[in-house]
Amino acid sequence: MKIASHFDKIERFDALRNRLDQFADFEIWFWTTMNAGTNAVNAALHATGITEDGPWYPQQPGVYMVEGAEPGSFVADFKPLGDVLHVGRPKIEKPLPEKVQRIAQLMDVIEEWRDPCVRDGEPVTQEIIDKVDTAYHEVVALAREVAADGEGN
Amino acid sequence: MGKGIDMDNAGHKKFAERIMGTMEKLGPDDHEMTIEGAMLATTHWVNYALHEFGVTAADDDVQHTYFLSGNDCQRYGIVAEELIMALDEIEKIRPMYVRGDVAGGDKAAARARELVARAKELAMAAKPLPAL
Repeated sequence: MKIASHFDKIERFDALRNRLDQFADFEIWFWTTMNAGTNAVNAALHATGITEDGPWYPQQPGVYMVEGAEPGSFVADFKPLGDVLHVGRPKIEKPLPEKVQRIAQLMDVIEEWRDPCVRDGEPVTQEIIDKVDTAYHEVVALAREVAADGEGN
Repeated sequence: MGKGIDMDNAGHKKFAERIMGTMEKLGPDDHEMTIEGAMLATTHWVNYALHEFGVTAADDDVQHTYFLSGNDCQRYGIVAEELIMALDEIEKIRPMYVRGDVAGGDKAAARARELVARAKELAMAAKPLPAL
């Protein structure tokens, strides 16, 4: 997906996460944060030329949904590395620039709470929310920097 | 699968209903998180039903349908085929409409809402199997 589309999603996700209650709506607030962060990861990877920005959409590592022969249909196919599902899915073998490495580290901070708090019932605390929120804002700011750096090159 | 924390059925029901409550706050511009909310809540309904039927233990939760083995699908399908299919249908629209920017996200979100509502109905009707 194109960098502009990733940032469009980030803007809409950002608006949504600001409307939600961090505790009462935690699951979707968290999921919105994680999805926005993943879009930031993909924008940064495209901007640095590490992944491709074509119209194929990840189903599982290495497998993407692409337009089929029938209008509006999609079929699974192998494609070059495009959008990632999460940091580490799939693992990227190419060396990452410093800012992209930092983005990946921050996404690990966010994703650490995905299964415990969304699926397994670990109690949500203000400390967890603050860690996720702080990491998220840094992820998006860094991705914007990386995208701007890419435009300047 | 979860990380070993046993969520009982009261927990699955509470989480599913809370997520569905948050989904009521989502509008037409929020089709991605409507689909994601449906996926998360339906997963809790699937686990609620499988635990209620006695087919899975509390520490053996389904996460994504694409992580299930053929044997899992066969076993769970005996009692919860429509539920598993509902979750699978939601999972299959995520690449294009959640991760991607394919037109028609609003229709996909509306379908996801139908599926999670049906999943709740099916889960609430689940009863322990006498033979297990």
